[in-house]
Amino acid sequence: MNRQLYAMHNTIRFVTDQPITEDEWQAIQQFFQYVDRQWSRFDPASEVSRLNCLMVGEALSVSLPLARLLQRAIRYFEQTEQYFSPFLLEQQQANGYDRSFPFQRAIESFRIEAPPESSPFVVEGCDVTRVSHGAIDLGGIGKGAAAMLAAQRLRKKQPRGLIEAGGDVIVWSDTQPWKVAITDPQTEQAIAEVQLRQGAIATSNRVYRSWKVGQRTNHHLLSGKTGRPIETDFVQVTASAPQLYEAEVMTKLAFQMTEAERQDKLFKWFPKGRLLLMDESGKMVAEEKGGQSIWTG
Amino acid sequence: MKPKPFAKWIVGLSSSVFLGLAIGQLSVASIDQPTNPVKTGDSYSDETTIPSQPSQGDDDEWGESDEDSYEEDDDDEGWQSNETSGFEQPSGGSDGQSSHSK
Repeated sequence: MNRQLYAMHNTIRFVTDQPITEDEWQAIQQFFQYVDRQWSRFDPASEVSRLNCLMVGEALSVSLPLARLLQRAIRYFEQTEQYFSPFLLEQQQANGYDRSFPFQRAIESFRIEAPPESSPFVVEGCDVTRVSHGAIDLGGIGKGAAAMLAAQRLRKKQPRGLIEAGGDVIVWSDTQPWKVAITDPQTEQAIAEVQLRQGAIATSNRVYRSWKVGQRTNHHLLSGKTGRPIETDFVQVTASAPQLYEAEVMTKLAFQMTEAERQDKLFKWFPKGRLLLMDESGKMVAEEKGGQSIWTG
Repeated sequence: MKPKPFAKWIVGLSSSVFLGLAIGQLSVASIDQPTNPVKTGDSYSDETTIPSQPSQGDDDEWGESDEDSYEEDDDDEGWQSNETSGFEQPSGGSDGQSSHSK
């Protein structure tokens, strides 16, 4: 059975062996409506925007899924030595990404604030308190979290399922594995595939979400440490991991790290993860804990 | 009988000290103590209106079990293993597609 909805500026596709009941489908739709309403950085009435408006010392009680996502994002932020940062909203706006895609041109700010070195928010239960300067932009981890939560719910009644959320994929199966294709960012042809019974795949590239600033091309992938666009030879990174949150974070880290750093840090933090990296010439390498290999397909 | 100038000075000083202490206390309170959390009023807090949505503070089905450490995350809801083939040459006819969102 194949169903889909539109949320977070993406088509979310649900594939299951058994039909999803109408009650279940309605609950899923309501959940994604909530995510659209409350997790957006572009909607000034969303919970995320209201958190960003808090003064130091002020607190806001938010919905449980957002509180838990923030806790998780802060944990990744701290665990990855700020390579991954969910607090780059001001830097992203200064970079020219100040509205929803698609757009072709933007004006960037001359002054880019240094990104936070510690979490600007403390989360206790559903209460979120601002403790320092910095603003939330959930980005890909929000999309991954929404798909992951939907998968956790569907899995209780569905023995086999796949959720595809704008390029992020999470699957589970008690029987035969799922087959997921990874596509070339330019040609959109399949360049690789992964067969998996359980796990997640996320792909990030600097081609789709890019725009012109004068004669220069800016992209949306920012360094968690400098707040500036990452300078990298890689065009696209695909990560597979047990959970979609992890795969999302891995792609952001991989763009910022050298091969040695990926072995020393990334695969230490995510030992079950795998990477497929494509550079500007189209050359691809596959990496996992313990080594790298030129990937020829 | 008029108060002596010294007595006036003492009364004035006491008032100033009291006021100063009071203002200082207020300032400290505003810096150190977060204001009471403001409820967002999101519909997720109203289970009577939309029963299928989780309420704040509940360990509901949309949420996940409470975790104290990162390691416990991997055991969450059984998503601990990555049962994959690794990257392979495309053979066509895939069930899903991983690409950057557009």
